[in-house]
Amino acid sequence: MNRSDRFRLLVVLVVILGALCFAYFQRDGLNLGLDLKGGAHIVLQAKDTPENPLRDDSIDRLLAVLRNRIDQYGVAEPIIQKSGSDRIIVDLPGVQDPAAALELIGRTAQLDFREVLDSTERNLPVEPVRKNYDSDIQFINAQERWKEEVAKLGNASADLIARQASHEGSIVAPGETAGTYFLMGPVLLSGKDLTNAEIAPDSLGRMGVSIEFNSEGARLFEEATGRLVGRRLAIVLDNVVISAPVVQDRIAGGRAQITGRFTNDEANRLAIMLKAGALPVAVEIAENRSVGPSLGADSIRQGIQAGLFGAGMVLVFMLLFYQFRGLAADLALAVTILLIFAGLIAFNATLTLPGIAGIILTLGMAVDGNVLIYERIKEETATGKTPLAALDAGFRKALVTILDSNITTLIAALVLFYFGSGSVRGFGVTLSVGLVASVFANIVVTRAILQLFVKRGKEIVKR
Amino acid sequence: MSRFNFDFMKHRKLALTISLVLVLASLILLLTRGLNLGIDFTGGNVIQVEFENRPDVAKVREVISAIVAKGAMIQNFGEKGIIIRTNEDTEQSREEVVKALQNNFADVKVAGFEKVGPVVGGELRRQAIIGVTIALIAILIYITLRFQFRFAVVSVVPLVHDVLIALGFFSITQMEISSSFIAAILTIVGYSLNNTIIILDRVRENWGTLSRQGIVNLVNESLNQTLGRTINTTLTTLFPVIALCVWGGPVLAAFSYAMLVGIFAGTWSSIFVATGLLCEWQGRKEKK
Repeated sequence: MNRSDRFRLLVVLVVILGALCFAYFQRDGLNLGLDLKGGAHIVLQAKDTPENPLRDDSIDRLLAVLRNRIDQYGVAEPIIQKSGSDRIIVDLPGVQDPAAALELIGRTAQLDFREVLDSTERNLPVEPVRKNYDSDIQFINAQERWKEEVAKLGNASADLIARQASHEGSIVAPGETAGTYFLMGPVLLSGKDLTNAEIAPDSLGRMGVSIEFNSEGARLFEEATGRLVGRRLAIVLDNVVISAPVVQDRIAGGRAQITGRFTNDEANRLAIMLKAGALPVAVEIAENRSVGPSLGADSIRQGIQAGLFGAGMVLVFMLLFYQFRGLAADLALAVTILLIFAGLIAFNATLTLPGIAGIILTLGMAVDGNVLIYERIKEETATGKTPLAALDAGFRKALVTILDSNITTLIAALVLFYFGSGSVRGFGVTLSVGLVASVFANIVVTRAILQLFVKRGKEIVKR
Repeated sequence: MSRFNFDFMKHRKLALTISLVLVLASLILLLTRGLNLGIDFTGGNVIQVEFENRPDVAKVREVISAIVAKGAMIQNFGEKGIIIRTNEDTEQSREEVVKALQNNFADVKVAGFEKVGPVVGGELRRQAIIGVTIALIAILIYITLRFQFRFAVVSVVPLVHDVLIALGFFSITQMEISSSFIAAILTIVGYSLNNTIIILDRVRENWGTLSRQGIVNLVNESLNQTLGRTINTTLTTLFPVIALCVWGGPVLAAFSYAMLVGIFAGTWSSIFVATGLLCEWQGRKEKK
């Protein structure tokens, strides 16, 4: 064994041992994509509206608010990142209730306090319920009357809108009950002036959110309640009046309670949103994918199954066709797989289902290098070279071919990585890592193994 | 060692004609029948639901048809799942479908869903076209640098051939095209190119004997020298792809079948199309 052989063997051993140790100790570092472990993938698109125009820093502020909300909601390892100039990708692994998550991150949560100037609310009769009536006819009549009242309310709201023009800074917004509209004065104070928001039931046991103002907010709130004693103060969330209580007294101390028709979860989300702040711009949901944990587990199981059968067929084929050298190729293939996983961990890549498909495909393409080398060695042997010389020539001549063919595939893989998104990108990563790993396994690992066998064979002959 | 010696290039006109017919048929299919583009490209909603006792697709369609105006695609998925695809790309439309299912089937469970808005869909389509084009140009440049321009051209033609045939296959079967299909197409490009380059590499190695034996014999010799490798690598690549088709599950089905078709087309085009074109080109040059 000459020096370069020994050096090659050493490199192979070090790489294998290093990769083994690295993969073993960092095995938690392999990220599974949402399509495998379940979760929600949401792409938000910032909307440019007249009230909240998109500015240079809008997306960064949006990002900060979203991070805040999601942190407080308690999702493990969320990924929240910018995509392009006006999009944000939110990945929430393992989220059980995607609809609630969407509600949490997609809602603007702009909270305003305004004076109620007028409303259509007091005129609204209760919607008829069938069980309160003796006959269908009575019920239908009652429904007719109710519909008329609602229609009147519609006219009343048109009236409110007409009057809006004469009050500067006023708005007309619907209430939570169908058909109610409020005409309200300018913003007295808003969610910006909050320091804290917590879920708290009111004295009647209804779920609500108790809020605390900062000093500026407390001053404004005291002033407003002092001025509005006996009148109504509206609490407006995203342009819907969630409650409009009559102010009983001047409220000092900077605390207030918001009560509306909340469930426990809704109140909890509202508290989080108020604490984290309103979204600086409105967003719309451009993409929303959710995978349940069972579906992801199925995909992993099927991927592993296909991988095992695929690898098994390749291993057996190489062994049958090339026998001894086939064994070396199989060992090299095992090294390739090890290196792929170590590489994925090292690059902090995410393994997706197409990524698994990429690894499985790589198994087949990885032995191509071995096939090329072995066919070359056969040719060289046919010209009458000694085994060792044939080995050397085979490797030398196949090397260029292997590099050329793998570099062109690598170009395609890198394009996938650069232009693809999500799972396709994952495929590009595994394919690229797989190509590099397999070239190393082909030309270095296989050679080291074969060299070992050929030399030893010679020594045996000598004895 | 006895070498298998087959006169591939004798049949090059026939092989090129077969390829031309397949490519033209694929093109006609693409233009008339089109592709079944998934929501990744068109925008829309996909809902995957699971049942304890799966009802007939027809029953599910009945329930949904009242809500979804534009018509939905409903298929069995796995053992107890059903997959529903609609072209309506709002959150609300999905919630309505789920509600209707829950009202009609007590044992329904949402296993996963996907919604893609119209903007994202259009972008992906553009990205796919740009991506494939850039990959082809980059490869063309690389081969021109490593070999020569003529080799680059004759090795890119088979790629277009393979991609079109894979697309034609998806047009005939109307299998759904998702974003992972782009991955399959570029992998086919990589694989087919790999094959072509290895044969052309041998042609380049034997180029010195061109004046002695002529282009046809040279190509034949190169093809036969690399035949063992071509067959073995095709097999070792086919094994995992077959495993993916059989065991890979429904999510990967489109990807797997695209690869399967691509490998056959890619092997065929490396042996006959790239080399056949080279013979024709060189032959014409020599006649002048």
